[in-house]
Amino acid sequence: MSKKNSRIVGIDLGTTYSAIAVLDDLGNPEVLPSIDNNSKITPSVVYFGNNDKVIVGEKAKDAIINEKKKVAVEVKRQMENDVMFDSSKGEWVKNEGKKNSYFTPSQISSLILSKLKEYTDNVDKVVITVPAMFAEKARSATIDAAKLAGLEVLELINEPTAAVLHYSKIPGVNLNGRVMVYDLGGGTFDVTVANVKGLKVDVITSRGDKYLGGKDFDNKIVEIFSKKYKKQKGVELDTGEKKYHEIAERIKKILSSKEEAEEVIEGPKGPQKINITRSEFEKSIGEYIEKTKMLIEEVLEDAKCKPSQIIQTLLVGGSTRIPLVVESLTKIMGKAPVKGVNVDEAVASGAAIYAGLLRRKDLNSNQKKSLEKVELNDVCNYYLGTLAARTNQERNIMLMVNSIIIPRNTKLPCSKTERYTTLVDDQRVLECSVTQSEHPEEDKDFVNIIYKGELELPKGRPAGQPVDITYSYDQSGVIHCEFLDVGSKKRHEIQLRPEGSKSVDELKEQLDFKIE
Amino acid sequence: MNSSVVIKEAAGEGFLIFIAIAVIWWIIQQARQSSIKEEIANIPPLTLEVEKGKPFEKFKFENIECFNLKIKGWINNTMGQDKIKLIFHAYDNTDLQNDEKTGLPLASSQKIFQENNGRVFKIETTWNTTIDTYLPNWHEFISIPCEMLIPPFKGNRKIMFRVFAGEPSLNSTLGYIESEELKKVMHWSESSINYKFNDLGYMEYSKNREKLESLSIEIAVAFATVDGDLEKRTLNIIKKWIVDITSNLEGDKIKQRRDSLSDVLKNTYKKAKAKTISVSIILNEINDTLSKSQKYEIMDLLLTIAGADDKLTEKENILLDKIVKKLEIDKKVFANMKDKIVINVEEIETSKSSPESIFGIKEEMTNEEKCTLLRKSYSKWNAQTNSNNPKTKKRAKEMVEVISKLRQKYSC
Repeated sequence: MSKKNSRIVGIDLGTTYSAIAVLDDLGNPEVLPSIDNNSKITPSVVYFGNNDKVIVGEKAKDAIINEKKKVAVEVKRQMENDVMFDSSKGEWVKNEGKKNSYFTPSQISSLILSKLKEYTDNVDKVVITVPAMFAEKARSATIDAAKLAGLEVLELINEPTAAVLHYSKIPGVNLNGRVMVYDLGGGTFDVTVANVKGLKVDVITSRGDKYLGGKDFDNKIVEIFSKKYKKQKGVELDTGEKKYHEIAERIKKILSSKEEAEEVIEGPKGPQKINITRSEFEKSIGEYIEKTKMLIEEVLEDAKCKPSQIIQTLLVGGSTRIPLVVESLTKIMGKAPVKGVNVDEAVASGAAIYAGLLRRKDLNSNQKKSLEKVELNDVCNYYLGTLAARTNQERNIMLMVNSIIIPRNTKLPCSKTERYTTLVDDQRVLECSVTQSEHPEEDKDFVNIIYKGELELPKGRPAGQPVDITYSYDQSGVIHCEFLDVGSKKRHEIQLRPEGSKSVDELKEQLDFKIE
Repeated sequence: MNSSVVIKEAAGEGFLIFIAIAVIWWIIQQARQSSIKEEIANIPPLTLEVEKGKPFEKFKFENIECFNLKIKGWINNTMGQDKIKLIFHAYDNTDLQNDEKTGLPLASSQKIFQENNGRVFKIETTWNTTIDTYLPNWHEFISIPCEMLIPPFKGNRKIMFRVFAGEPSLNSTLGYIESEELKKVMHWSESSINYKFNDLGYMEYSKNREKLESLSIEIAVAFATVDGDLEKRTLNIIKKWIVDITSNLEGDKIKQRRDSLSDVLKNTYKKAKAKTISVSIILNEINDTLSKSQKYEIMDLLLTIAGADDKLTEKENILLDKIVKKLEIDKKVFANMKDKIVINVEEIETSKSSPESIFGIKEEMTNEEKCTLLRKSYSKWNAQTNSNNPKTKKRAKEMVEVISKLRQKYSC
């Protein structure tokens, strides 16, 4: 149950910056400013001080210069990994259980969420955004983080989906056709094609790269000035130093508006003034731009459309301020992208709108009216299948392969049944496996098995008994799977949903901080 | 009084009516009996028919060529039991004048179509029946993918399928019903079909099995020395392979075969050291004597050797591609086999000038083809960055980097 009058909230939990938005009384999303500095985006940076003191946001970022080991950055990139941040060494290490001064990615993310929660009162249920291609483990860790921050996750929504939802609702924007969302943030890149008709958004397909974002561009800048420093001083810089990445981010921002930038770099052999041109920077990030191009080609192919059929390309994420990004996109699409939304705020705003859709009954009359025509239809981002024996004609052997039941990009909600047969006489057990993959893989070694179970079968039957496998997938991400032995009517049913892996108590055990 | 007469009269009338009804009933019964007799007479004996073509729809296979078996007619248990067993076999009757006799039985590559203790083709099922059970219409019994059956010899063969219906305890061995089992057989039927088998038959297969093993060792040694000298670990892989493939031989044959293959290994090693080994001659011999599935067995061994040192070298990669081309192996099937090695090795060596070999990019391809191929490879590997297997995830990230650099190189 949500508290009376609890706010309708959406959170963009980003790699480098995070934002929180609420629906105002008129049903419009409003990104809330930080209580520290009034900025609408908060650095996703956490500083672990003495006496259980924790600082989140801009001030934590400042601590990078002097106390870099105590500062955790880019936590989102670790959400899918079984690691812990060692706040005495400033390193991510393998998770070997509870230890003092070691923190899991969900625990650190919970501190960021707790900080954002302070920007308003009465927050208990939220929609949190995640990259379209976020792994199940990372989604689960995000829900753990929310639990720990005292937040119930209504649903996780894909970042580009949230952005297009927000865009379609901007007054004066009346779209009717296919739209592409190009979301290049601090750590991830997503590209989505959606059909938008007024306030009705039908997602067609999404693709993404979890290792492509502004942070990768910063790394390239650090590499450039490390080389230049070496040329001048004879030694290279320690490119892992967080302070250099802070400088790189500053340089990157300058290069978005100027042809060159200059900084004094404090290296092992003293300070050195270093100049970087935009052209040097653009050359260094060419391989990343190439990846975005390949993903665009893929979504266009999946959506079965040509660039000319996309009526608008929408930019989202801070890294879309880089001129080369816009140039490359303009070249591919044949027209310039629109800058219709605030690239830093669109995702959180869309999440707040989606939270409103999920909590229609809690809305006031103005909010209801504002959202009454808003509609969002999403697609399944993965291939869902099962493991089954199939003959490889070419090799003339029978192999256990991944057999797809729900293809990627199937409109949600959906339900599909496929018939299989038992393999051997007197088969007593049917292995019930659920697989997930982003690519239509047949090879079982290239898919993730997200569930394994067994169905006991009656004895004494010949091979070839029919087994119907039905998967149903709803909008909220719940997958219902049924394995039915048609002859005996025996069935094995399971429900899979993205949910946190741990209990709140278990998670809280390791966290007792005063957040500043 | 009158009334009693009336009753008697009425009783007399009733008797007549009874007689009339009884006669009519008798006539109907006679007619019914004769109709049942006629019907029974019209029920064909158990009849089997085999056709070639797409599988029966109910089996939901892909559209691969199948032998489709259908039956109709009597399948009753004449001994009054409530079950009947159906056993299907197939025989190569190519060289026989008629189908009264049977040739050598066919084998199957798939366990579900094999006898319990061997590879002889057999389908066995037990049905519930009564004294008058029959199939009035054609019953689509099974579709068997043609490639799953192995005849004794390759080429155009006349295949006879036979079905036996008998007591539930009926048994067959090596494709035949033993004479003491014959009394349990109540019905049988057969149907023949001609089919061209492209792959080697099992008589040829068993003859050239030894050839396969020798050639596998020769090509393995030739392949392993592509990077220079034959490493001890590679030698151990080949030795282990020899042990594995000979382990199911019986008695003295194990030692004899192992000794013989060890000699092949020694001789080939000497040739390799003397640089007198010719990959192309071995490949020609493989093409001349081995079946398609045997060629994949060889590729499996070569891939194991390629990944043995946790490094897939560029030379190995190039040679693998050449072998695949020469042996006319399906590139897509091989690419899937290779990807498993790509994931598991610690290092994939690519010269800076030409990392294309990993992705199967050839010089003769147009730029557009190269770009599309790279994008498809990117799609595959980028998806693997979400793998739960850390090794796969790490390799996927590396592959994605290489691909985007190549795309830049070709100005995609």
